Amino acid sequence: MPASITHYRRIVLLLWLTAAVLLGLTWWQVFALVDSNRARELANAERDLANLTRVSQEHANRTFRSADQVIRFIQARYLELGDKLDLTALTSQGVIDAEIFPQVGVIDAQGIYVLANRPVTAKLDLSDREHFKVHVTAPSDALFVSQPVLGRATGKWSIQLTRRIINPKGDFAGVVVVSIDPGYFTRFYKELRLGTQGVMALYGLDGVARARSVGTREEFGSQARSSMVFSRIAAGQLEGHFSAKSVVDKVERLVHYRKLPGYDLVVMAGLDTESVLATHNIAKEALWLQAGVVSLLMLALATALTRHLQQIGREMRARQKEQRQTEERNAQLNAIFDLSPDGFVSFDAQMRVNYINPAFRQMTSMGKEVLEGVDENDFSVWLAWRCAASTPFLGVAALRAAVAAGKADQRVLIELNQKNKRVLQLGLRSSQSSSVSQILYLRDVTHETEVDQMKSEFLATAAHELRTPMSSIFGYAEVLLHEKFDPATQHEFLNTIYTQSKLMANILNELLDLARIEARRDKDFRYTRVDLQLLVTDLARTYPVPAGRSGVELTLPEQPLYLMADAGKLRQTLLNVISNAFKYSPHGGPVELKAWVKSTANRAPGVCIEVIDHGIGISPAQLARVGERFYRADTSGKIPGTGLGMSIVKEIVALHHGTLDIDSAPGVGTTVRLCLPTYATLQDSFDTAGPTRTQLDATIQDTRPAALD
Amino acid sequence: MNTILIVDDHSDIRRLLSITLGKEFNILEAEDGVSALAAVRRHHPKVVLLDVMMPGEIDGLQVLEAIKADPDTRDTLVAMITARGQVADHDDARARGADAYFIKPFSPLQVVTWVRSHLK
Repeated sequence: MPASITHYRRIVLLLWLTAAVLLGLTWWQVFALVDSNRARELANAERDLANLTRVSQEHANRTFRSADQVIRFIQARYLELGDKLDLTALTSQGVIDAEIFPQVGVIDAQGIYVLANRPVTAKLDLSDREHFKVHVTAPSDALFVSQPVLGRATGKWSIQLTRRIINPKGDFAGVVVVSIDPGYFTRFYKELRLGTQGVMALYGLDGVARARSVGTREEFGSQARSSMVFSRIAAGQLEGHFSAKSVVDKVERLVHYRKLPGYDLVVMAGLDTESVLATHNIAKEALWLQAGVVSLLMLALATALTRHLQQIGREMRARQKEQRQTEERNAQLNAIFDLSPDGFVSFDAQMRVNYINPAFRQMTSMGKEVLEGVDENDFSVWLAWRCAASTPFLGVAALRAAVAAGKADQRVLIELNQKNKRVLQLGLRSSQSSSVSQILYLRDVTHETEVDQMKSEFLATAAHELRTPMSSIFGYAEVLLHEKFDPATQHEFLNTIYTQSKLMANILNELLDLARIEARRDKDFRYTRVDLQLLVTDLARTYPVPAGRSGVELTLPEQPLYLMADAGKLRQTLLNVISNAFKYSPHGGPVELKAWVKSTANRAPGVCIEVIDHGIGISPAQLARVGERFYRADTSGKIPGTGLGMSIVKEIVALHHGTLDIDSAPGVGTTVRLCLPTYATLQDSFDTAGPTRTQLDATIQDTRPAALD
Repeated sequence: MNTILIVDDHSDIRRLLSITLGKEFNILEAEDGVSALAAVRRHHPKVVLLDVMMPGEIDGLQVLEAIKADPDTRDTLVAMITARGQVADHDDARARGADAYFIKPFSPLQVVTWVRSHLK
């Protein structure tokens, strides 16, 4: 995986980490803010509640104190006046406030309601009432505050405040009763306006509400004994606050309570948590919404960025893949160009050389010169300088113009000015690619052009050689047809026609032989085990020795000479050599043929055959040209011949992997020596050329002497 | 009697031409370029029948060039008789001033006709 891809992955990771940290911070801050907000709201509420309980404590205190004052007054007056105490008068006089204390009375020691500020129509026994019983059963000097009672006659709620009366003897003499309207408390509480679920209450430590106000509602006598207020007070916490669900109406509230000193009473103020935290909740929700929106935006941004980065990553991977493929393709192409036998020079978009293949270096014998980076013109100068004057290189630009002008099918050849002749064919291909503007290619056509030249020279020579005897035949025949000659001249003409016809036939035959040998190489050859003694002897016996000459003198070894050869071709070879020996010794002298086994320490055994004449011989200059097609040592025309005989000999000897040597001196004579390998060496060479091993084995089985013609 | 020089390295061809022209003209023969040029300068033949491809130092075309370049011999009629039958060879010879061009195998009777028509 390339480094840049990992880099992109790291960026994505970092992005998400940052996003996570930012989100964390945001939410942490939001929660902290909400928390502190809530705490502040609660603290405010608590302070408000504490103030409320203080106020209501004061209110209750004052109420009870003024009630107590009335009670103590009545108590004192009763002890002083007894039944003569006129409470009605006191009330009407305004000594007793009838608004607050609707009922004021005295109960005697037997529980009979004896005095009242209102007329008592019937004897009223209140001995079963709690506010009386409490003074009988548990004698205490304290003010008793009863639970609210619904008046049987009035249908109104009232709380009885009672204090026992002790006569001077110290005996229980009854009870002073002052009833107050609990509405007096609730009306005050309502004035505080604590909202619909806000609570103000006055409870006795017995857990029964003396007055309780919830919103605009008022309740009396509701039971709340299990509230934690009472357990707290029992534990000694005389004031405090807490948050709990109301045991009366199950509403969650923040409550402050304060015990009334001197009374078994407690004032409570409570606000429902919901309304306390209402603004806080709105703010909280707003914050949460804000944080949520910010989070979503952040996530969306991070996702978008990630997608973008992934897209970039994918594109990069695709590009890298493409690049890799391009590189692979380039490597492949370079390998192809490196291996190509043709030369290639490519130019970049700025027409500068950017690649030269090894074949180009090799074919132009380029040293360690660096042409890469050289521009087109300098390159042209460089190449032109290496060209022979006969074929000047006109430059890459000129070549391009020629190609553009549609002369691409014309061959552009240059010959290099170097020791070994080298002809190169040039071509130019323009390219649309961004990295390569054009490619110059060079093909080494040295061999082709040489072959072409040789072929046309050979054709011209062959035509010339055939036209010469043809002119004699045609000319003499025409002359014979149109004019009359004496018989001797006629005979001479016919003889010329005959001789020239024979020469022409020979030329044609030998040309065909040569062409066949060249074309088929040795594929037509039938290699057999040849008994050279037999072949040479037969040849000497049947050779048409020219008139006045003695036959071929043979010098052969005792033992038989065998070799692997095509008997027919070997016979033709020896015939050509012997025929030359006779032709080039027109003044006589013996023609000798010697054969021997050649075996040296380091070379495979072979057979050598020498044909020796004592004729006119040839000069070293002529000797060098022996074997060339149509080359004749004799230019006088006196010695007949096609100029192809030795060419054929040369070809056949070469295909037998033999050697051909000629020693000659003008006026002394000529020795032609053929050395051919026997079986062993031939076998070696069969591995690379010649018949296959199986063919050879098959022919070895054939031990019959080669067919002789 | 007008003199005609026959130049060819093949004796058969020289014999053929000398037989056909010998009755009417005085015949000279040469078998290579050097002796041909020498004969032209010495005997001033009216007509030279000249082979192109010949062994020796100079070939037929060079002989032709020399004849036509020399004011003494410039008027000599030269007919090329050659085995080289390509158009380029023909043009080459014409450019050098050859008066006629016969391609081997040629008709001896045509050569005689051409010589006669030019020596009237």
